Order: sequence, then C-alpha cells, then structure tokens
Amino acid sequence: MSFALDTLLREFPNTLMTIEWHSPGFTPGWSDFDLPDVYDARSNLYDVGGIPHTQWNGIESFVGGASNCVWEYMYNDRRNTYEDYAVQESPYIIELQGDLVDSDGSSPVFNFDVIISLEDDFSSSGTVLELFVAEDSIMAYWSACGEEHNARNVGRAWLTMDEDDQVPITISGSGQSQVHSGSFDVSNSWNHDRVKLIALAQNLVTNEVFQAQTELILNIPTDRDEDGITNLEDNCPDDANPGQEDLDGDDIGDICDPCNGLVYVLGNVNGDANEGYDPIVDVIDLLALSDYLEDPVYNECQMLDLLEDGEINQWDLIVLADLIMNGGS
Amino acid sequence: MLIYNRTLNIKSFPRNCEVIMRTNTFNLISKAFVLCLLTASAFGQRIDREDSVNNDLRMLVENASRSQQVVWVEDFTGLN
Repeated sequence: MSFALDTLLREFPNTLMTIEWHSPGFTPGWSDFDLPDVYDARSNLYDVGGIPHTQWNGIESFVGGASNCVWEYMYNDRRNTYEDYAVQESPYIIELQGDLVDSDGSSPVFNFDVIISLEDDFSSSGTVLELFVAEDSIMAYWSACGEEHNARNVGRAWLTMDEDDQVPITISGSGQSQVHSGSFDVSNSWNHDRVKLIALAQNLVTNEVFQAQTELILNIPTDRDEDGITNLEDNCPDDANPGQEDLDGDDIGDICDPCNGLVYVLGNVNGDANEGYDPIVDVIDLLALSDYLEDPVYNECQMLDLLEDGEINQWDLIVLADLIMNGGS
Repeated sequence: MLIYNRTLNIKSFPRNCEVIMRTNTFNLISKAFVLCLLTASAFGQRIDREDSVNNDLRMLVENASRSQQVVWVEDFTGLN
C-alpha cells in the first residue's frame, strides 16, 4: 500500500495528503517512529484492526496490502477512490503561516498560525481543527520484497490529541475565519527540510475530514507579499504595501480594498459617508434596499440583512424604515 | 419683567403642547403608513413568492463559492 500511495502522492502532490501512523508492533527498535499513544488514539478512531489499513477522508477504509509484492493493482483501485473524492468541494479553506525560530543548543521551535475560513455557510458543530507533524521521505526497507522506498509523511506528533489541546471550529457563516496559534519543538533528530505541518477540519461525530492542508515548515510563508509586514499584521497580505495605507480606516488596505472610500455598516446600503467617513443612513438607503429586493445585485461590501436573520427581504426594509425614522442610528 | 415672563410662559404652554402632540401624531401616522405600505408590499406579492424563493435558492447555489476538497488518507502501517 505504501508504494501505491507514494505513486499517487507524486501524481497528485497538491490534492492528495497523507500521514503514516506506524504500528508499535512493527516498529523497529532502532527507529524513533514509535508513538504508541498516538497510534492507539488514531487507530481507535477508525476501528483499525490489522495493518495495512488506509482511511480515506476519515470515512472510507481499506484493509490489506499487496500480495507477492505486486502493488500496482492496489494503485489502480485506490486511484479510483482518489478520483471519487477529488471532485468533491469544501466550504473550508485552511491557510498555514509560521516561523522557524532557532534556539541556542536545543531544538528549534516552529511557531505557527492556522487560519480557517468558510467560503459558504456551513455548520461546524462537532468539527475540530486537528494538527499533526510529519516527516516526509524517510528511506525504509520493505523486507518482504527486498526493496527500499521512501516512507511518506511519517507521523511525528499529534498536537491536538489531548482534550486540553483540542481546537473546536466555531465559525459557521460565509466569510468568517478563525485563527489558531501554536508552536512545537522540531527535534534535531528529524530532517528539518522534510518536516511538515498538517491541519485538518475533521468532524468528530462522523470522522469526516472536510478539508486538509499541509506544507513543509521551511516553505510556510510568514510574509507572502514580502513587504516587511507579517501576514497576520498585514492589511493586504497578498499585495505589497509597506505603508499600509488605509484611506477609509476599515483595516483593509487601499491596494486590496474593493470598497475603498465607502463605509458599509448595517443600514448604510449605498455606503455613503461624510468627510470624516461617518456613514450616512437616510431615505436613499431605503430606496437602495428596495432596489435590491427588486433586483438582487449587490457588492461584497454591502450589509443588507438588517434583521440579522440570514435573509434579506421586506422585513429588513421595515427595520431600515424604522431606523431612519428614528434618526438613522 | 417677572410678570411678563410668567404671562408669556402661561400663554405659550398650550401651544408647545399642541406642537409636540401634532409632531407625535405625525410620527405615529407616518410610521403606521410606512409599515402598512411595506407590509402590503411584502404580502401583496404572494403569487410571485414561490418563484422568488426559487430564484433566491438558485442564486444562492450559483453564488456559493467552494474550494476543492483535498483527499486525505491516514495510512496505518508498519516500517521494516
């Protein structure tokens, strides 16, 4: 199975992500792959009996390996499984940011931020952020077949295993995001060039994995646009703007602000403002909202759901009318 | 001077009340009018509501932006 997965990983490096958990019973004494607590917890999650066992997106399992060292037929079967899952879409986006900090004499520390965003409304009830550390491409010898191969993404740590370390995902609305910050020691016995951080959005009720993201820690960017401002501090993390200019003070830099110079708050449907960028809520907004109900075209900055019930309809018009008659505040 | 002021206050008191009452009455009437108008607008289009809901649903589906889901595999294995 490892050979089949290795082939698939080389074929689909951006859309297939894996981790190997090594059964303590098969872990050689000279290695440091033995993580019995982690193995027990992850294998119990999927009711793993014997090995090899692969679990796909947390919900589909395959048990058994290649006989007589002929792994190619496993590749064909599992490629079909990959293609079934590869066409699925997810509302979650996971982004990794981090920085490897060397410390004198001891293991360096990797500080990271994981940003989870929703592109669509989606209930995150029961869903958590799982974080793993893996080391890729450890040369291993397959004694049964007398061949060497790269063991891919060998599990080194499960950062969110303990109950105190669990990270529930709390966002549920389109456009919302959540940031989790953490750190881990990077053992000097690991090849630092091949250490990866892995993040999953996994539902603990169904075990389904809705999204995954992984990157070599040395490739995780701290400043994507290289403007000297770290991503989390940057008001336009993908567009270089070392001056952080923000004309309308909405914490979105001018260079990437699609609504620059406009002030959208609940009730200010047309986004107009006075010279001090204070929003103006008046009868023009009532007409603008009425227009929207007739022809629902709006820009991404507008906030039209005055009733905050998830729908934009005539009831919002009534709330806005009342707001205006009471002075627009 | 004191008498003048008192006289003025006594005379203007009913007029102030009247103005306040008229303003309040106007606000109430205008609010009721706008509410009636909007409520009528909301429920006067019941025939089109199903189409409208369908259109909203279609737009919601069309506008939903979702990224590709990564295929995630956990491999329980042994290393020789």
